[in-house]
Amino acid sequence: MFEDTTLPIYMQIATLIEDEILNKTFSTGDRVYSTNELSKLYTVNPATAGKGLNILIEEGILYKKRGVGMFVTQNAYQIIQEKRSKAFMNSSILSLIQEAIQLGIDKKTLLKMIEQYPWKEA
Amino acid sequence: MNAVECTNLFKQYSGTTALDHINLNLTEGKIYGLLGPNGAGKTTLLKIISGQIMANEGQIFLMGKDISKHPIDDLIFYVREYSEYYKDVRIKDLFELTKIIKPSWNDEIKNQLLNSFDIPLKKKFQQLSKGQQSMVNIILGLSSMTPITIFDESYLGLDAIHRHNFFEILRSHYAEYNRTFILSTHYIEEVSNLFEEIVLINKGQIVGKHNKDDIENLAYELIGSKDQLNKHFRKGEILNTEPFGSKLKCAIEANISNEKLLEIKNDNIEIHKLSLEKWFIYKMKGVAQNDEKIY
Repeated sequence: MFEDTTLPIYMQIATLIEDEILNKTFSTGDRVYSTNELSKLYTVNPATAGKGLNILIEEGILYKKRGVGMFVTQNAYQIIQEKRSKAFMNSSILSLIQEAIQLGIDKKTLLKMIEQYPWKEA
Repeated sequence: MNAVECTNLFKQYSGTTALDHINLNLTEGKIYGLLGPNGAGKTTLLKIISGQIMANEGQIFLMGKDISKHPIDDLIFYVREYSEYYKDVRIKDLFELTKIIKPSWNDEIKNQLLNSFDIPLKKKFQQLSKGQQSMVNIILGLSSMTPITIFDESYLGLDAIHRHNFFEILRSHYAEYNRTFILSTHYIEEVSNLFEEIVLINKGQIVGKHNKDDIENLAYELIGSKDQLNKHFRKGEILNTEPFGSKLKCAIEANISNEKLLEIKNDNIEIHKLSLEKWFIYKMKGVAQNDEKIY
């Protein structure tokens, strides 16, 4: 279902909602998926889906309006961006460099490859 | 509230111990996976819980009521794969009969389910295909609306499409009606996402009860050199090791902090989530190895 195979499903569900906040599907004040919707979407136990949402509440990305649902906080985008940038350094860049070393690609060549990549700025 | 409470359950069949003093509590409103190798005692346990057979010793409470001496049919439905009892009964009548035995029966749910599963109502149970028999059993179990419902490998006859359909119906029932479900199965991977708790049984004993999300948080598979792996993990944390090219493939059960995860990745160790099925296999192997040491 998801890409990062080290993550438990409830973390994958949390990541998925983070992605949708990063790509502006959800903005400040928007209601996100309910536990039941998530559990249906991925055929997972509602407790698992709920755990994913609770992580985002603890991190200040979502807040709960009792009986109404979960909503995106004002700082959500910033919190996710900071957290994920750190993770980007620790996982994506790390595995990129490790693979480059394994292939015998030196630093200079790797930097050149990144340089040549056709960037599309957001 | 505990949906099921077993204390000191003991069962012998002609000198062979099937259940060896089992204590088990299952909380109301959860989906449990009961996993164990063939002959572990799964079916015996489920039959005793549902009052199909009696234990030699021990007590069982369902929703707080003692059923050790007098089974109460209203509370529980045990759905098996095939039943001799109703093989000659027409499906239409089978639904009507079950409705009498289970006061919580809901016709509306039965009709809904009949819309998603194509069943010839006028045929006898044994005239149906294996897949259709499974569907009928599932309709019985879900429409009964009993607080506790057991599916003992009862969906094995279904093809992939209908199985998926069943999982989705089960999930929505669970979310809507707060029912307790116990699923005993060999196809672990397929249903694992539906489980909230997993109960492991082996040689007539409960050898583990785990929250499914916790297992996912602890169980990993790593590929690295022996020295690297030894550096990061103690012996007690390792479930299984096998050679993988010049390296070792190692299944572990351990708490890995983000910092430690980074160290592991920095050491060029490949790390993945361990599948529940593999976790189960290694757990059972571990139990067997410990047994050998004892005897």
